[in-house]
Amino acid sequence: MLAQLTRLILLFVALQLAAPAHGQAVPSRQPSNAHHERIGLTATKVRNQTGQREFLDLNGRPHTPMSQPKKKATVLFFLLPDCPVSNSYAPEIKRICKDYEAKKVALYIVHADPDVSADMANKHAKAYGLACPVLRDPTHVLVKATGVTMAPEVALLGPDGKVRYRGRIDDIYVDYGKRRPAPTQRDLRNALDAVLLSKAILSPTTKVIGCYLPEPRK
Amino acid sequence: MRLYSNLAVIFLCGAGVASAQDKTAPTFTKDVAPIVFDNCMTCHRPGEAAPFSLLTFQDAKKRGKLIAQVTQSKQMPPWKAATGDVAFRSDRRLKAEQIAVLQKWVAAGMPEGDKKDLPAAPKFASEWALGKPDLVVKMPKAYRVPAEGRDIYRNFAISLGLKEDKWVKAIDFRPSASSVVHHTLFFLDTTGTAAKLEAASGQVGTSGAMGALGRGGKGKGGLGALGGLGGSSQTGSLGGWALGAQARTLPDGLAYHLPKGADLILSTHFHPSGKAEDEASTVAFYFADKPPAQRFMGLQLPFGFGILAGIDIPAGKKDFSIEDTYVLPVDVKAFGISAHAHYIAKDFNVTATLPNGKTKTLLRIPDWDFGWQEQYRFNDFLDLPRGTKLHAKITYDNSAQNPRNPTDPPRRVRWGKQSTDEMGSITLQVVAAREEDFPRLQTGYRQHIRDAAIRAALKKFGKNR
Repeated sequence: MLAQLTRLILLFVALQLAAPAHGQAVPSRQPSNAHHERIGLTATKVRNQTGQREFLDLNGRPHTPMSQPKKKATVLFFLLPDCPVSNSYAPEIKRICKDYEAKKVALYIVHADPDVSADMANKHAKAYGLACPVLRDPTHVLVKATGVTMAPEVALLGPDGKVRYRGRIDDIYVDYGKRRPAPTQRDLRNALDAVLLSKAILSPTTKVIGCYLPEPRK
Repeated sequence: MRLYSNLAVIFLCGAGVASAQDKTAPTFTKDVAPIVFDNCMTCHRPGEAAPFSLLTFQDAKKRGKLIAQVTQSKQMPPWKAATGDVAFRSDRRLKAEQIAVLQKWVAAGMPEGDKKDLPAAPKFASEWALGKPDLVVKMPKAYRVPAEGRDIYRNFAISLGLKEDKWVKAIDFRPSASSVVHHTLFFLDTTGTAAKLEAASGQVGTSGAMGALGRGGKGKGGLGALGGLGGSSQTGSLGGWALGAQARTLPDGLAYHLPKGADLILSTHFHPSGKAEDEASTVAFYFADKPPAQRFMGLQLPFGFGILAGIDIPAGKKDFSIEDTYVLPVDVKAFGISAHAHYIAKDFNVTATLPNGKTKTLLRIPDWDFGWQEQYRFNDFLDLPRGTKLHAKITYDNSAQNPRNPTDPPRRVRWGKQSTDEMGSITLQVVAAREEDFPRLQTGYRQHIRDAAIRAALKKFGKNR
């Protein structure tokens, strides 16, 4: 209990110290309470961590994935390096990153397994040729903010930070070990196209076949 | 405020459940570890085919929810056969009590329990489960499996360099890229054709499933293609390896005939994994000291993987079936059974009606999955007296509702080697109860094939007229 409290205080101090250094460089880091109400986050602890919280990618560059007013949308791919279903999506993730980065969409790989070190995440990205920024979320700040539970699950956020789509990338998996020869629904791409055209998303949530995300680091 | 009161209720309930279950809840060390050690660890350990290891409490806790889910749905441990009337050796299915223990453990928050309760972890042979092999061969060149795309079937010829005939009592297999190798079937080629084709193509391996079909042992009365997937001591098929399978010695001193100069053909099924992988498989052979006292063969129903069974499935047809019946000409003892078909097969049902009128289910696969080409071995030799009627029925679903259908929209499907074509047969591995009856068994089965060929020809002839 005491240890947790100490960690929280340290985190708070760290955030305070970090704030002025990046405050101007990343203007998106001015989350208002309204923003958090919009994405349905009411707990104080989460409010302090999301939005204000920066995530460093594997190259040390800061990102604020929950707040991207300059982008048309943000996609978070929650992956697990030892989940075969998750890995089998790597080529499609690579293509989606390429296709939609050009359309002013921010796309991130997120590792929510606290056992995945930066080194492991780096090796995984290299092995699977994943080029979009890779973030680590060992304490599940992004997991909680988006409500994902599985890998490979995606969260698509609108420019307002609201979760617009959450679920599978496509429907190639029917069940564990039951795979179609090709997807018949490309849910993430459909949702992205809808957001880019300011249209309604037909299925805002879908069921994911894959692996459960492990518990966060306490 | 509402959220908080809801949360409070959840916490209170949670606390109530936890304290009520504290005494009765299963723990990892006492209840869960024995299940995991005996049933999961064979594959879920470093260097094996499963994607993650399940060696410790931390490993199991991390995957607890997934374990509870896939054991309850019976997707793990993998085992496609339903309970029939004959028990299988190494049946990997969990018992209902074991599935319930895993459910309760996860519901109770996955307690570790007393460390003193932890059983000793099983020990695995460092390299080959059956000990030092008599011959080890490796694919001379690695085959590159691309990052994605459809499943791949490829045949690789490996020279064995044997100067004399051998008898093989067991074969073991090691993939180099276990994340992409799903199963492999072992065939022999005494003609050198496969190696020549591969050399001429300038590539590693040749494409297509069942590459060795029709290339079996020379001078064996054309039975080469007929051994079926279970293999036979007399033909070119030596069984196979699939994910989760452990190498086993053939029962009762039985052995596969391995003629000198034969090449080994690996007919391997690959699943792309998301990144390109190089596969160079290693195969280990265990030889018998002396020729076996008994021969065995595969009774394939229908013969030739269903080539003459009239497989012609209209697009969209939900229930299409083929059948074959064969009456045993001599007393036999069966020891293994396997099934083969491609993607749209749904259901296998194999029965034996004994002369006394009793019918036994030998194999039932209610939800056929092309991915799991299991070679089932009976617990004991099964006596099937002369006059026993063997019956095999294979049902296909060529509708758009079948998610495994490889073509969308469905198209007419006929017999063929491509995975978008279909095949269908079961193979029952048998010895003659008296070895002196073995030639009669062979002759009788050959007659069965001849009859099928005549029937097919008449049907075709009749249609053309």
